[in-house]
Amino acid sequence: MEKNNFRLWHSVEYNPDSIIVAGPSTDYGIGVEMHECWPYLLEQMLDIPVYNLSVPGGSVDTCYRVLDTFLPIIQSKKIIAIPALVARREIINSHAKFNNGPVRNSIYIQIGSWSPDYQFLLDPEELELNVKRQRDAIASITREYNSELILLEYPTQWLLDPEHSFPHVHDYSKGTDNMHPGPDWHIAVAEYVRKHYFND
Amino acid sequence: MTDFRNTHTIEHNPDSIIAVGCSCTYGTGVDTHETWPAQLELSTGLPVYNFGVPGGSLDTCYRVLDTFLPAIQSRYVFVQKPSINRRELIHFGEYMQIGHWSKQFTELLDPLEIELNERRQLHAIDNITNRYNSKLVIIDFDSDGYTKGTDNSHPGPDWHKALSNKFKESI
Repeated sequence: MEKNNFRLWHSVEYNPDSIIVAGPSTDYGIGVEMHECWPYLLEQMLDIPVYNLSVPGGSVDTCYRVLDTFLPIIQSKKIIAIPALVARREIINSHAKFNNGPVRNSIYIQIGSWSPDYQFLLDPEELELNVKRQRDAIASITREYNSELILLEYPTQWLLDPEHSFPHVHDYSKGTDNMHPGPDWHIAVAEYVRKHYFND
Repeated sequence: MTDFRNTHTIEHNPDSIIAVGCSCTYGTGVDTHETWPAQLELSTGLPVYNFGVPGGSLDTCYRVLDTFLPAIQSRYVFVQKPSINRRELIHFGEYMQIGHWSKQFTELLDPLEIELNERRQLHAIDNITNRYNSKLVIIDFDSDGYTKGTDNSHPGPDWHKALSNKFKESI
């Protein structure tokens, strides 16, 4: 079920015994069916509702914006944030409706290599400071709602994990778009998250 | 120190106060000894680092804290809240203060963007001060009813004195 450009299968309502996942397209599940994406699989494994608030083309900015919008309502006790540590940003243009890939009629502009008009937001020093700022903001908003924050950072996760067990996309099949990871990667990520963060 | 009216050496100094804000903290329109950080230092006896930036925003406040708080680790961080209708951007190695005066980068001043950015910056500032166990106090202090400084635009010494007293109550 696609709701408000998210792959949400739950109503947005107060539901503290739940998990919020906020990441980019890989976590949205571009290239796989909704029932194949790892947030859906994690819900099946844990029997805990998972709100998949991931946004294709999303950035660390998007991650904070989504939490700012939904965390005050849902107040999930666990937040899995995947701040895409790549050259991306997001800004709002309240006077326009943008069509960013699968995101339709949105006032949120996803900025990346595809955005010639917004390259000023992708200055390397600006990006470096922005990542720190957004991560601080994400940590603060989750603390405000007494939620536990789990940060998954794909480009570095594999290196940070002493067992090097985080599923590396290159070791798995591709999705239907031949770019994003396929169903076997999503199964592996759901297993990884369950094993490392839920002691299940 | 360049671009700041700070007179203290940047070094580990937890028994101190970091003051951040815009030109009203920097003290445009008043002498250095009349600024609220200088008056606060005088009344508390604690060194006050004045990191006010003319044209500064909440973005600037976070950036300045990100730069200096890890080194100084002050027990108190006092924020004179700048106008939310401003932003800061790093552009080719320079800090660009963006506001009503800007011809470039005005995309960042979209009303909804501004509204979200205020919450984002306040959360980010909260977390960085929390990391260093600093007490964070943010005051949005109106200058109505106070004198003007020598530029006839920014607040005068009485406003600085009053704000200094407000912050002192937090210690």
